[in-house]
Amino acid sequence: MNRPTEWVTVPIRPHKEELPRLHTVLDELGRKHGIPAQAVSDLQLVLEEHLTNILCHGKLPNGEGHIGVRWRLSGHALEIEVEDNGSPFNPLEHPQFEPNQPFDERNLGGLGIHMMRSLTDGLDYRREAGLNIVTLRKQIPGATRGREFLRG
Amino acid sequence: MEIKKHKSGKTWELMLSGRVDGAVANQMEIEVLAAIRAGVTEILVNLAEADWICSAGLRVLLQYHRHMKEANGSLLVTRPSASIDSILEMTGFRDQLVEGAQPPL
Repeated sequence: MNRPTEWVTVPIRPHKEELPRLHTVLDELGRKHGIPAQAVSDLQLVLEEHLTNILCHGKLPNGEGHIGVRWRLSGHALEIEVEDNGSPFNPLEHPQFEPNQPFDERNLGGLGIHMMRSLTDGLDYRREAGLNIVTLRKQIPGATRGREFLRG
Repeated sequence: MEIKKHKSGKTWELMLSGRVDGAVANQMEIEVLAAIRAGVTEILVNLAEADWICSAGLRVLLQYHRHMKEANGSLLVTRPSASIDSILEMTGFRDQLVEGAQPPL
């Protein structure tokens, strides 16, 4: 089965109080589609880092901030896209966090992005129609076992 | 999340379970500050039941690890779950933060 499933949108308001609910949605997605718990856990952490970055540093327009989250199955992978209408920011261009260099806790810029890179099998960025769009990809061994995924 | 505490003399063990997200990182900091105010010299953060920890949580651990060390005390992670251990390894903080961790050969 090579054709991706349709994107499924997860409605989310741009507030940090929404994050636990998003994590619960991922738990349910994982259970429903047989995605290994560790893969779900990795994606929850990636989303926590990315969405927190957007909410804290993304400079979303006052009163008109928008964050969109959607997922689909594509090949043997789960893809999640996050879009936001904050200032242009490409996480891939952020200076690399080096795990084994001396640092202190004030100098942890890039740590979240490092975690995102380490925990995904693909990470892409594009800017489109005034939106930052980040695509995360996670290989799921044994995914696309056929029709059960198409039931969404 | 309710952070369970086990107090034994000047040692407090904080037990965190599930997702250590931004909100839990804040709660953890509050508990650590309470320990410091109470004159605790050894803080253990037990992550045996934690699924993952975000960068905000790591920041709290690092900040107070350093604070306690400078005050001749300690703050260390104990019994990290496999998932937590992996995160600590990936971010390069394992040797510094985990109780009994040995530096790589």
